[in-house]
Amino acid sequence: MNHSIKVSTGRKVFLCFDYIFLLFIAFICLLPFINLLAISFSSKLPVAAGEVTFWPKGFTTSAYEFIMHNNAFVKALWVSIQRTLLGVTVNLVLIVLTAYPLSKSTADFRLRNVYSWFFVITILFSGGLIPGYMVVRYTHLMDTIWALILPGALPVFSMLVVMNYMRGLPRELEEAAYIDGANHLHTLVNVILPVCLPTLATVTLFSFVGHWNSWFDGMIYMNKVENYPLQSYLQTVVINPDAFFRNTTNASADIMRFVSLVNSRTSNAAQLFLATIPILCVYPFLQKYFTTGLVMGSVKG
Amino acid sequence: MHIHKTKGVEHVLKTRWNKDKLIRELPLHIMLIPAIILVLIYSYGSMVGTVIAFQKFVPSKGLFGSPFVGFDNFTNLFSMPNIWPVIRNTVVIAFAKMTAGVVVPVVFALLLNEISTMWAKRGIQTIVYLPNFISWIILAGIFKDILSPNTGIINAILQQIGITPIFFLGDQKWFPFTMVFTDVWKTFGFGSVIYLSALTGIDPSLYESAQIDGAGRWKQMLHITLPGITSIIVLMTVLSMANILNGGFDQIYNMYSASVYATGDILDTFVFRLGIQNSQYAISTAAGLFKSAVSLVFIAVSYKLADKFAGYRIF
Amino acid sequence: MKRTYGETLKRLGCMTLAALMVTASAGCGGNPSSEPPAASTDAGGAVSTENSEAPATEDGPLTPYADPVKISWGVQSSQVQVFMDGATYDDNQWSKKIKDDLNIDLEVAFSADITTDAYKNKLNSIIASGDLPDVFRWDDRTLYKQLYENGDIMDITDVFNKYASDGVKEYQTKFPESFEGARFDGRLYAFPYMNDNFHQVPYLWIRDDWLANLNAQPPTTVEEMIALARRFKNEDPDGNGIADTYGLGVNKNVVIADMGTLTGLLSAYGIPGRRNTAAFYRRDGKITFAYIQPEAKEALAVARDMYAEGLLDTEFIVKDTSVLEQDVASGKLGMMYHMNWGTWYPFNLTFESEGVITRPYPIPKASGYDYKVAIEDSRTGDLFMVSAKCKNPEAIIKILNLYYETVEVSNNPDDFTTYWDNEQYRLCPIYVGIPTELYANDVFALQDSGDSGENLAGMLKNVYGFVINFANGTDTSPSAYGTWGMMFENGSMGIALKNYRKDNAVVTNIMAGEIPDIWMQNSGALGTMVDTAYTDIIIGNKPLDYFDQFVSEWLTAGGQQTLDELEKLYPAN
Repeated sequence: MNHSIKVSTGRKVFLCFDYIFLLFIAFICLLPFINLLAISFSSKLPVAAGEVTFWPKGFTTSAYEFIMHNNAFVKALWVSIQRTLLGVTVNLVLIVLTAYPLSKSTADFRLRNVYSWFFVITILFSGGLIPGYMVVRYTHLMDTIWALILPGALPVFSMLVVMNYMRGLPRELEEAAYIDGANHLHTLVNVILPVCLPTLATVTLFSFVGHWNSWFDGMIYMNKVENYPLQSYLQTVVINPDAFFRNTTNASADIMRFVSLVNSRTSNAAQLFLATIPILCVYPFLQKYFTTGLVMGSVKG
Repeated sequence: MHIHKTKGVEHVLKTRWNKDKLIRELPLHIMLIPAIILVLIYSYGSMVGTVIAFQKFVPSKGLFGSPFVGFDNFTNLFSMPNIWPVIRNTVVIAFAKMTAGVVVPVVFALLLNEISTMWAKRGIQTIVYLPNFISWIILAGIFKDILSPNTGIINAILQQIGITPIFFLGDQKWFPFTMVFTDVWKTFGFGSVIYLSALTGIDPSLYESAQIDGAGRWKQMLHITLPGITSIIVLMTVLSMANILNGGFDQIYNMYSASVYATGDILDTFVFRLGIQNSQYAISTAAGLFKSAVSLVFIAVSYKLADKFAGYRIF
Repeated sequence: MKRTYGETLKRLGCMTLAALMVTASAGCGGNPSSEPPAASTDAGGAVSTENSEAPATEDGPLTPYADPVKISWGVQSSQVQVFMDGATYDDNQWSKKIKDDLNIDLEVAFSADITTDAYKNKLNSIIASGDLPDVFRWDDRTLYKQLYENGDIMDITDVFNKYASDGVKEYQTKFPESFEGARFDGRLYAFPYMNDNFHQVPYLWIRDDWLANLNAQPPTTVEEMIALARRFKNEDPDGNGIADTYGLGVNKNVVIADMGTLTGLLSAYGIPGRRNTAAFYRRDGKITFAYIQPEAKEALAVARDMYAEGLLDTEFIVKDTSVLEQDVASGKLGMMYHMNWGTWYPFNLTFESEGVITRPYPIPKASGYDYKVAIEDSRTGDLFMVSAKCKNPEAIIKILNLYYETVEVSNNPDDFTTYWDNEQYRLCPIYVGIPTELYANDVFALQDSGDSGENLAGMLKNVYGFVINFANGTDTSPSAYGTWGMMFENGSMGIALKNYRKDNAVVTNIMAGEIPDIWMQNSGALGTMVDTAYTDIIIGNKPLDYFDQFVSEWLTAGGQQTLDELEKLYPAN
């Protein structure tokens, strides 16, 4: 994109500061992650004493060895992978199928405003824990992977983003297709979608992260802890003892002992770190679609 | 977003498409069917559950067996001591987060967009969006360390430049600021993803012709880049209105303490403390319904404003 | 799973009974045993209530079923649950034993994590949709009452009387209050878990090595405690040459937490404080709330002075339990008020790392005041409830009998390791409280007599073994240290029974099953007022006299009304 051959001094100074500033920001954002990593490679006691900041103390890989032999982690990882792949697919299909009709103007699609509000309202109002549970139960999804997918099958927020992007596209695109005699489905798949790649990459990322990170539904809709997805599982590993104590009416000694035993910071850090890796892997892959710049060749010609 | 323009073309299309409009619209309806069914069942289906807010909810009696009590839960909620300061705190913190949550990612995306070294650009982008994936329980622990007035690194630096240590988490004046700052720090990288993708949607030929016209970088940014992403900025701003009463439960709950309740206690933490002993679903549902209603008003108003003054139809 | 000769005999006995039982059940219920289990179980349920006055038939406490019956249960799971090789919640040594010995098929209705909100949320959702498992454990008394009123849980009085073994029935006399709390109108609607509420009283825990390094004595008065805190703060008790130690550890939740609260200090001034819901007690004939007593001002003045002098961590207001844990582990903290399980957590950390023993002492007293410590009513606590839809409630009692035989009285050491130790007892759908609480008196009597423990039997042998083997240095496992800290002569249970109880200092919380509506609505807000006022006074944000304003505000914000309601609900006798 940088076509200028001569670069002014002012721009040089600006770019210099820009680099320094952004690198500094990036460094600050990296700190907690380094902290997590250092903890995961440290031995238990310096960690319990809060001595580990950015470098491991008493270097050990035992936390990772523990996880490798921890069936629950591996199992939960598998549930999460399934859930994410299936969930992202369902999300994308529904986003595209919904965003396209709603991207039409009221003139072309008279009920679009009604439909739009129908979906937007759901961002604002939710029934809460128990009603949600009952709906899932009555539709017989309890304890199945669909319980984690269908209730959020259409991410309305992402749909709006895609719809907006579609509305920003030049109308000539569609017009041309229409004149060629293409029907809606054909227009959508062959004309609209190819130029929507950056926004589709964005919402794919959102869906991926959403599915990968959600934990509450797993805890409520799964009947067995063995079927928890990864983040639900991690939620039971990383707990705030105070929140627990405040939350119980009269905690029994045996449960208190459980709570105190759960607090193993090193393995928690290792598990959190491992759980973030897939996101790190997916991101650059999708990023490609919105950093290389979009060439709207089909319009320019 | 839709900018009303080129009326002529529209008119031509209108008349041509008018004949077979119904037939032409039918596939659009069909495309919406799967989403409508699922949303109807899972979103609207469970929305029925908000009746809990008007009940003395007893789990064993279920949704329809519990006695109705009218607006009692709301009256109780609003007669709680300190409810008004709590709502004020919530709005102040949420509004600051909303504003910063739009401005910072946009500025960041624009600054990053100036960088042409691809690996640096990608590297920085990947790193800044990391904090978003670490839970507040973990981050709260880290922040307590680095913000400590006695041993924290931030205050050590402040002392070097002659500023007396600040108790960021224990001082009523500083607490809301700390919450906004740490929240922005956590989320801006991820928030910028959407703007970066929007920036790529800008037609490169526009920059080329601007350069030929002799427009500098600054002018290009003002006249091409910014307008190019305004629609998405407006969309994000309007949607963020839904958060006007969301102060950020996880964050504040893990970092606050009795000494900063005066400025740091928000609706969600307040309601959580109300309900902890007795699984008070009714009162928390009432609070949730109140929040939703307020959000709806804010979204509707900003939707109208965007339409009226800027000509943007957001959805 | 090796069995002793005695076990085998017992087992044989069961089998003969099983043979008899086939005829018995056919005789009573009039059902041929070939009928499908569902039908025969229906009849079984009816039999147990209709014929409850009939003399005990051959269907005894441990009689196996001829046809398998199914019992579903709710599992309180945890990440730290240890499984014996390959076992799961569905299939483990307990489910096998229950199947082998009683012919009962266990089925996990749901499992949810108990260390987070997951179990509570899951259970509430399940209750709302009406799918209760046959047996489940929970501690929420409000919910218990709602379930009872709604007819969702079963009256198990008759099945308990008919099927419980003598040993299990004995719990009724050992823990009468726990059973009283599980009854409505004299009928038993749940089996209590029976924890001894002494684990809630405060102690002052101090590191042995710090006392030794400074050649100091454990404090018996508040003044001595302050003096010791001063020395801990200023005289480098850990000898590392750095001034990095605190005088006294305090939690940011100054009253409502378990570790590092100031309830121990308040107790010295005669205020029996516990967590918010357990702070109501009768004083001079009237029900009142601990944290509004005028004497609290004295205690707050002490804490305020200690804070001003730097004896409390200046940052304590942001330090919760997990940060305090770090301070303990890093050796910055040598003295803290804590409950009776300190050797289990967090002082196990310093024991593991440095071999340092931290032990409990009775709370230091204030001159001119009778100290009081608070416990919650034994009528509160966890319960095992049985769904009203359960077809074979007697099967649950039989499982309890089996638990008792296997864990509490078995002489086979393998039974202890297989079925109890390492949280294995939690794989059984119904069980009783942990033995440190059940066996306290027995263990103290044994220590007094200097018993070697050789001739003991069952659980008592194991518990006593931990105590004496830790004392003589042969067992330094976490379980041994944990148990020792509670059960050695001057351990926390010892202090509770020998000091607190003898000094008449134990005050029981007045509020048990019945909770006034006004308190349900306002407890959160009122608790917040206590937290805020106390914190502000200690750190000097507000003057000491602000306390009086706080008290009047607390009373008008629903406190007085709660006290009035309580007088009606719990009239003085």
